[in-house]
Amino acid sequence: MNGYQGKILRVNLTDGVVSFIETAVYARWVGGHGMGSAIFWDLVKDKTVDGFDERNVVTIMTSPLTGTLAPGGASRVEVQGIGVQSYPIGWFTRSNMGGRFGPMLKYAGWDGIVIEGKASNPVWVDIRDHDVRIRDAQGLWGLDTWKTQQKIWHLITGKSSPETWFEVGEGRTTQKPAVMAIGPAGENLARVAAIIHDAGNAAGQGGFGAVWGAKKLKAISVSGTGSVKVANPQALLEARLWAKKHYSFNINEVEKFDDQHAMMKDIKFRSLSTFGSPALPVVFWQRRKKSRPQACVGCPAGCRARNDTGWGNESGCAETVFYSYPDLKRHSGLKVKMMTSLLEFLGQEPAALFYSLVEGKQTSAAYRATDLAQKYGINAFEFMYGLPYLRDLYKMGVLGPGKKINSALPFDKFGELEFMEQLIKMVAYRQDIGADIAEGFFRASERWGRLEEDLKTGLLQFPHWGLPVHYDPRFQLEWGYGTILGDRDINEHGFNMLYWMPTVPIMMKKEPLVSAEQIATIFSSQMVPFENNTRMVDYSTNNMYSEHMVKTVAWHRYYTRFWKQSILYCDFLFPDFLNPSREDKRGMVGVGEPRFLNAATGSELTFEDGINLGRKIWNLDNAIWTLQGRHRDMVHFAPYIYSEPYKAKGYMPGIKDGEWQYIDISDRCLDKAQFETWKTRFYSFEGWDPETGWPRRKSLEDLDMGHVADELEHHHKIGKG
Amino acid sequence: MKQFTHPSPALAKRIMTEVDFESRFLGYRLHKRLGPVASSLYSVAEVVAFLSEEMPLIDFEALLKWIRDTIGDNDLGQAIEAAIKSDSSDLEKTRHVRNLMYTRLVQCKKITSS
Repeated sequence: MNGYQGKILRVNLTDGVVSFIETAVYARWVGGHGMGSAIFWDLVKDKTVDGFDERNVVTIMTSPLTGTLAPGGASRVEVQGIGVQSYPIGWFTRSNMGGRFGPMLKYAGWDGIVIEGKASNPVWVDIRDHDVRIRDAQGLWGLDTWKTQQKIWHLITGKSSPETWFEVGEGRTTQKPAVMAIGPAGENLARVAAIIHDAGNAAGQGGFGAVWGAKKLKAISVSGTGSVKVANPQALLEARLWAKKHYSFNINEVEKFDDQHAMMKDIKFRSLSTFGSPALPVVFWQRRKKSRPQACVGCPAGCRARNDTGWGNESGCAETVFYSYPDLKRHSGLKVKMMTSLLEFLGQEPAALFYSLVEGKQTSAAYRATDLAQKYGINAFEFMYGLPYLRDLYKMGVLGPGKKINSALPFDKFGELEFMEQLIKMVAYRQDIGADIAEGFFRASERWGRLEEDLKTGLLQFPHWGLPVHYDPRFQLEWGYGTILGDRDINEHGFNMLYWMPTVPIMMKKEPLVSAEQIATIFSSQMVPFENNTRMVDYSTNNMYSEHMVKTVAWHRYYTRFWKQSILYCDFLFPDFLNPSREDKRGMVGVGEPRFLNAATGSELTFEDGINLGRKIWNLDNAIWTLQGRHRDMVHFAPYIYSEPYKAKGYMPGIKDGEWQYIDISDRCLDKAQFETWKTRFYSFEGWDPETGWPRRKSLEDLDMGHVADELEHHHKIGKG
Repeated sequence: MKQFTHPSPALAKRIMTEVDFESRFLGYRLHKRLGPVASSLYSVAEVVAFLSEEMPLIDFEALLKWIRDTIGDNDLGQAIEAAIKSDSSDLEKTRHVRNLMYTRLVQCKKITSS
């Protein structure tokens, strides 16, 4: 099996038995999420168990591309199991992280790890090639994620500096072990706890940090000295060079770009999620001058940063933003204060130059708050929307010392490091209101007696499954619909270009890179097997509940379940629909994905084969949710999504007055009755029972999953008809 | 740059003070990949910081109403009204409006701190 190591490590923490599963048993699922779901299905006999229950099984899976040269496909691992973050049920869910853990696992000879049971005392798993030990973690329990990793590195290498060779079994390496660890938040079973690897890679969604905490699993360390055998190394290398030649952004041309990039450059906004865009770090601090991009194994992008201060290293996206704005707000005008004093001294009025300095200056608080979240092992995305919620409650006068929600949190320090230090520790150690917030902001709101009101007004922006909003369901339809039909915030950015590409230029009074009709044509042409239906990219209000939007959402679910989460292409680079660097603006979607995979495996899998496998995996996941208690009556958004119009101005392609145009998507909300009709259409399209949303036997058998139908039938959860 | 009339000490103090929850102003910050993120703004200073973000999204008419009705600054409101009626892009307008608000803020800070 080229691209595979042939074995999946199986660790039972209850009895301390280490064994393995032949990867070939699950080969039809290819890798990653598909394999993880199938293994979960087989090993977890009672799918209704709680995420904290020792019968919950956590899988950490790689793909055939992990540890190879595939760009954006070499580094990630897929983490699955029953989560503890969503509400009202902790769904079977997934998370995913980059870095170097996945490649190292492959180099150690494993295609994945299956964690079963629960240890009686804290343990960590020590993997050195094929030598696997469950070790006592009493000396690690209580440490933060960074100290835990440092201690393990030192224990294994015997050195404080890992840059020299050390022995691993019969092999040797200079690479320090790759470690996944939980912090105090996970140990204390905070539902917002993450698993952290290195400085800033996190499996944040789902609360897997707490799932590990419940299993008394502090860390997994892996040192590998092997390599990954691929079917055709020359083809894989040529595929990478082909992608670079035909689809990548030429850094030497950054200054003479005269289209989208130039507009983006004007506002320092160049980094979009395709091969054809400059790969600047996606961080939201005011970047330090001495800072450089940092990438996961094998990735050409470099979406995180390393900084001269050592703060914020390897973090990106949400965890870099949740405290950057409070910091900026509090310290806005630092530069200006100095300039004002100077101008006053000189007796001069402010000139135009003066205003270019108004931008303000963050302090180190934003960076260090990020590091605190990583060290204590906390999912920063919850705080993106939870933190403003806390401040709003404080301003309402219901939260604070002696208030209805009594808390000693120092809101007079909001924007300073001191505030976040206190809040993070409160959550990690369940002190003060941290005891509530450790349950997630949604459950905290419920405990405070505010949930109903705040979901009605939208003050609590947690519209689906008790989880924070991301791209709002009222405009980015495939995101919202995909999330509510699934298990978590999908966090899949493939269709966001439909929003960004027109919105930024229109706000700047410039022409978008391509017309609305062109972008609909480009996108829809690659959406096999529904290709060339441009209405699938029609985001107008009239099309929100249509059969076309059913196909859009279905295609997106299939694509991501296979190509993103099973083959583990990074969301930063795939799918490459719209490529600004190419004359025809067409990206490599549909062509690139199978080309890299087939070079590694030697198979002849087509893009459409992958979409069909994605459908199968999506159906398997829905069967698990069904057994967990999912019913169509539960599948609805928070009330404000149906009653409060979305206010942020933005543009997406759609047909209006018979013509394709970029339409303003603000000022609209979802119509509940029409959304229910859309759900019926979706369930029918999938072959699920529209009355319940449960899979039908025939649909499952058509997907060669008769055994899944048998179990559903046994539990009286099979769809009718 | 715009020269404002001298605000009264009472107005200057109001401009420098945070408003209550009901009187907050709502904006959206556009973050690449993260998307639009809603933000409650509780003072003129916070709006200035918000408008200094890379891609702030606001309803200009709502801001004008907030400045006039909630903050009570007609002079600043007049300047903002002229700015948002210009033919410039939304992004240019946000920068222009920010500079106007900042100028007013500096003016009021001098008064409240003297």
